[in-house]
Amino acid sequence: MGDLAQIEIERDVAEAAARRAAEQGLTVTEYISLLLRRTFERAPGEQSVLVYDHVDDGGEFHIDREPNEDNESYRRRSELYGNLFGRRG
Amino acid sequence: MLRRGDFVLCNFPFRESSGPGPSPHIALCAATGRARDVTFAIVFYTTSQTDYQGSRRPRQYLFVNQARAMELGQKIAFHVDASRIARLPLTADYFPEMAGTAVRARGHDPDLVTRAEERLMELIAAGFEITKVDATIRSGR
Repeated sequence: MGDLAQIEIERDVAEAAARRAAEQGLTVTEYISLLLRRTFERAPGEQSVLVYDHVDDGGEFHIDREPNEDNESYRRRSELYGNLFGRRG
Repeated sequence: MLRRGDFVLCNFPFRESSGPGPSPHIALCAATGRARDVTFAIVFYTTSQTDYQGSRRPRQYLFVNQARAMELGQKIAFHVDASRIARLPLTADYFPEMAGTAVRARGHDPDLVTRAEERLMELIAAGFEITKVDATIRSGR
């Protein structure tokens, strides 16, 4: 989690965060940090699809066909993911 | 091997930092594939933040109630977030429960993937901007 800083928040919020953190097997620090980091990913009111790409493929890739998948379904999925993760302008 | 519809632990990345996220989180596998010599998985983010401001659930969220969540190996209700999707190398750095080529699945629901894909296409058609968070360019690789 990196460096830590201390802040004060309202008690009921802290208690709710502690419950949620426990449900997810996280510390309160981890839980609140992750929650805020996700919130910061978008500006207020931003309507976007965030596409995280951590594969360096040079623009060429294929997805695996599902067992018994028909051509139309595979074509549709390939087109969707090709548009999201395909070669960059 | 990971399958479409598997719920798996994933160090889902963040927009503001490169590499895997700092702690594991449940993600929904939508597809697997191959690029050059890299095998990868495409996963949707999930969140247990099922309460939200305002009277309507944001349309990018597909709600899974607690009963169904428990059938899928989760403890509490959650959302599949159709507006957060990642293509990640199939490595233990991103999938901490990976052993060899296998990744432990907590649950399995391929129909939910189909619904998430349909919702994603609806969002794009409705004008949601596609924002690429491209770690391979940012890191200069």
